[in-house]
Amino acid sequence: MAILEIKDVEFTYRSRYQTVHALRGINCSFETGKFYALVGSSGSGKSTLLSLMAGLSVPDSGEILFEGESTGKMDLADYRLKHAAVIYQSFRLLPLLTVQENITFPMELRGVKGKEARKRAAELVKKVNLPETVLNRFPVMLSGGEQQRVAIARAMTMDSRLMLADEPTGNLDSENTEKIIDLLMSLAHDDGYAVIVVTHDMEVADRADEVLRMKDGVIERLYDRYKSECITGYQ
Amino acid sequence: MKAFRMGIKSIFRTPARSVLFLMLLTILTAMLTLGTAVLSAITGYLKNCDSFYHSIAELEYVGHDYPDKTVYDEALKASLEENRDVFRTIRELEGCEAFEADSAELGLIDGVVRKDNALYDENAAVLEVSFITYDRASGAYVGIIKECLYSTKDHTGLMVFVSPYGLEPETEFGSLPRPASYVMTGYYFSGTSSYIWFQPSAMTLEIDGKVQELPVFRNTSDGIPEEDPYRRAAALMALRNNGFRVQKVSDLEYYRPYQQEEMKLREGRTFVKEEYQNEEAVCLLSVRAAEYAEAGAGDVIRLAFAKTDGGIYQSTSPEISETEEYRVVGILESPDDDPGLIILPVSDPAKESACPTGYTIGTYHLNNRKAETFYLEAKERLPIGYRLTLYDQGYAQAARPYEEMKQIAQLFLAVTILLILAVLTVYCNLYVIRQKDTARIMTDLGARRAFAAGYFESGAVLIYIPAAILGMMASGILEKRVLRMVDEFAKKTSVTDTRFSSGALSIVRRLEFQPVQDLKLYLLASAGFLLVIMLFTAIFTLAALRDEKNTQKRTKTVQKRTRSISSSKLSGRMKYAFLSFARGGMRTISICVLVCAAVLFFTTLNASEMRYESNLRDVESHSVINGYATNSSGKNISGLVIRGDVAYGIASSKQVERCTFGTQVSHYRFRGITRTADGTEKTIDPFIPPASGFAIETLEAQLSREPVWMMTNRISGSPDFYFEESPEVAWLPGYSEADLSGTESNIAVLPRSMAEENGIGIGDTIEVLYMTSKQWGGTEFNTCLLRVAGIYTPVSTAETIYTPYADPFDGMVPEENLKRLSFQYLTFRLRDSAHLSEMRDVLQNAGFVPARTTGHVRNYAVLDDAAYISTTSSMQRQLNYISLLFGFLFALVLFAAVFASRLIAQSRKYETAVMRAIGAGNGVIFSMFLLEQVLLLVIGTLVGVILTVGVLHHEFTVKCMILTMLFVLLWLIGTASGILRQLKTGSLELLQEL
Repeated sequence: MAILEIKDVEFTYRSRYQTVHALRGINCSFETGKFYALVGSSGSGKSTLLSLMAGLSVPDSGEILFEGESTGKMDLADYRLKHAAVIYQSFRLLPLLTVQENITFPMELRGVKGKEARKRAAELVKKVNLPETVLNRFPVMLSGGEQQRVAIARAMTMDSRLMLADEPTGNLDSENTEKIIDLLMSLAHDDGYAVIVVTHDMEVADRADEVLRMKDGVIERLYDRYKSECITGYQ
Repeated sequence: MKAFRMGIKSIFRTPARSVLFLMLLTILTAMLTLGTAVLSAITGYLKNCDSFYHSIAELEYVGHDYPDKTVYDEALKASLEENRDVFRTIRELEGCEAFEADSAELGLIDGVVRKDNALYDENAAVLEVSFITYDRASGAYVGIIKECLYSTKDHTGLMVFVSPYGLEPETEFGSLPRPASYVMTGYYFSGTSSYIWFQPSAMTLEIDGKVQELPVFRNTSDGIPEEDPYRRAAALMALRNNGFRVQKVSDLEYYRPYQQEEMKLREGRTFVKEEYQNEEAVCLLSVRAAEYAEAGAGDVIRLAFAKTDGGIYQSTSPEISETEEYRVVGILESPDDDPGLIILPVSDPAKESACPTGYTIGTYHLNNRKAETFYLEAKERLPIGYRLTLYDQGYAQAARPYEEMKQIAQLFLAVTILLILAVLTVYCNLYVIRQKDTARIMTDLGARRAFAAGYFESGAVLIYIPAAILGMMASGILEKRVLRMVDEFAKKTSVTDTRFSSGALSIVRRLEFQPVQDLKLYLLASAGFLLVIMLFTAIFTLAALRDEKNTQKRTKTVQKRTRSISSSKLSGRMKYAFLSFARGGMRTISICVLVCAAVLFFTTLNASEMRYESNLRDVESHSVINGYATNSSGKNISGLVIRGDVAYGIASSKQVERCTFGTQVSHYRFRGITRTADGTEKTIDPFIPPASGFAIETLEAQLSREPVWMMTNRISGSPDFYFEESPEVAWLPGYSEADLSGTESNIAVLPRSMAEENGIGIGDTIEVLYMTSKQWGGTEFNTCLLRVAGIYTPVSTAETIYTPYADPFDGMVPEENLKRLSFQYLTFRLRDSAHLSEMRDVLQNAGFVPARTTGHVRNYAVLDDAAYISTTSSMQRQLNYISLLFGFLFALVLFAAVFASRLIAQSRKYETAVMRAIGAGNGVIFSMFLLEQVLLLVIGTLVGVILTVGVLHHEFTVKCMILTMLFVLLWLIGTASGILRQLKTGSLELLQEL
């Protein structure tokens, strides 16, 4: 079943310097248990689409349905807090908080008690293959790969099965890239997440279950592993 | 160079922010340079005032006939001896820089006798009288004046009546063959007819070391040789009345009149240093003395001095010194009342006078700033009978307003520094901390940390240089105007506390406030500002560029210290707020310091304001307002007639604490002790009233020159003691001052000098002779017995005796009775100074007008409130201006709070964006940041309060609390406004702006 559906979504950026029609009638859906790669050249709109899926804004027209409910009718902060887990290229960890505090922060916002949150943080840290000793470190003391795993652990604190990643390996070396992608793949296939990764990296795209391409604000399905087909055009 | 170029680019690529800081730094530079220039100008002016003005305090013996007497008397001589140590102690008080004894003497120039009206003893005479007969009808000796050995008027050849009193029985003169002549000493006195009356009186002289009493008269059939004692007596009288005042000074600048404009050098020069040191035989003459002596600069005059007996000119030592030659080096302009002055150089200023002429003992030269303190302390130690008068010579009027302005300038600079701190904190937070990644990228790319530091510093310097130039230009243009405003403000708000100083002795030159612009100060202040900016930037840059190891070490320490917060049960937002506060580093420190500085600023300003208010309250509460009734000539309070009902209006007023009234009974002559305190009876010759008209007239005239007998209800407040708090009185056991308003009328309080002279003790009963007017004209002489209930220490040479005046207002007294009463003096003291206007109404209702106004013949009242009113009104005016200025400064700081907090809040964009991205709502983000600010404000305020109370020892008053809460509130409003501005931005836009 599709956890996320995009229906006729259009979005335009308006700034002091320019107006960009970033998304022009996007239609697609995403299911749990799959690893999606969203590729496209710079400026194609893929990050914009991810941001809308993450609940950072609402489309100008069309709708984004999460488990059948339109995000336009939801409280976006609530949606981001409980349903849409996002990880970024620059990790976006809070510099004044330790690893444990970064992970427990969204849980505490959701009302989870401190002790329980800390226990969960310890579990998640293990799950992302980090030693427990990192719990008391600050982000600045970790490597890029470690920081990204912390970001993933933080994202995994939600009960929701939607994980969005905007160029998660952009700042990592190949070894760490491999490890992060393995992790994300594991989340998708083993834990039943719908993992949608925006990436430039074709090696990442090669490992995806489905590859979608954004070009000039329009999306097309390129490849579906399950259907073992290369698909051109769009559905 | 590269860092510099990058710095320029960073400035130009953030134009809005750069322009904002350029403007702020320009304003702050202008404020700093102006403040420094003004402070420097005022400080310079005050320094000039210190050297330009000379505050002095004159020590005087308060004689009854001051300032007419030109000689000292025995009582004064003894008093000086007795109090020598007291005066030495006063000289050692803080504030006293030197003591110049009034080294004035009497001298004669070449035998020249001056003629003027200010004579001491214009009635004194030494006459040779011949053809003496006794006139039985008048009871007097009549003769012809053969020669006036000394007399202010030449009565040679005129008839004279010589009073028989003091002479041997009538046969003495009458037995001599005519034309015998006699020389006699004495004085003229007026009678009721046109002929000359002469009263012989004995003199004592010291001749060749022996004290000799000159008989009242002596036969001069063999002539009066040159060395005759009577000629010496005549010479002494001439000297007393006609000598020149010779003043010895150790520094002409210090000599009182010569500080003022009117004493200019007309001819020649003043003394040089060696002439003082060697006490050379040179002199300066005043114009009058030069005219009398017909001498000019360069001439030599011959001076003789009156010799004294330990400092007293009296008949025991009429010796004139040998004549010495003095060269006149210069002629000085004279004030109008100059009778002729000679100035000689002396090396030691404190050398006590041989015999001062007049009652001035000496002059204390004081430190201008400590003059009042010295005066108050010295006054406490002054013995009875002396008066100290402080003259600040215009210093207070000139310098005080600027001392206040100096404090305001310092406060202004403090505000400026506070604002600088605020702006730099914001600047560094925005420009440096926010660009931490930039710095890290630079170092990651291989640049040294110095490069990154240079990048930030060059940005700061680049903004500051044009700001400094513009700021200095603005200061340069505004400085003159601002200084003029300072001058006007100083004059408007000037407070001259006239309670202590009597101003200046004569015309005072005024040192004008005319500072010169000094560009060096601008450059210095701007350079200082630049250094501070660079320091701030360096600190923040170093904080941003901490190397990893150090960062790890420091972060580990921070993490360890904040573990308790981390593992606490606090909710998410509270926890984040505490953690952000605890781990905020420079941001936390700088904001706490800013808040602490604001609290210190408020309390310091408030303490200043309270000080002004307290000074005003102090003056109001400690000012004692006295008043007295007078006739139209002002201070002359004798010879008045104040009706009883009028006096009752004042005495019964609620505003009056005490009222003293009295009337003169008569003059009196002590006749003798009739009974001692232990009950021993003594016999004195009975008084036989004179029978003939002339004898009555003579006795009446004699008695009228004798001391006065007053009836009064209290001694304190009586004319002799008007200025004294509590006169010193020794009472007979069982008696006190209250008995003076009682009904026992035959007690008396005598002056100590009279009691000692006549061997009178407390409790003795004495007989006094007095006179009254008969109902239908003429004079009646009576005697009266009085028991000595008290002996008082006089402050003058008057020997007034006081007897009771039963309280005429006791009980319900009919108005007709009151109207029949009359008093010759009435003085009063107000309960406090707060009801002056009510007291004026009371006086008006009682029929008095202020002594300054003229009108129909009425009673006048003087309220000694001029000093109080001029002081308090100027203080109140000053307080009003200060409150206005401080209000403006408070508003400035409060504005800075809003501005700084808003900008600091806006620098938290990264955290806002991340929190938004992970799902924190606007409310959560808002409350977290606000909570953190509350923590910062609480800590900063607490530290500020502790420093205020513990270190500065200022009070943290309710007003300070309100201002601090206002500051806190405005800071929070600024923070909220900054956060809300960010929260209004969409999450996506916010992330993209990072």
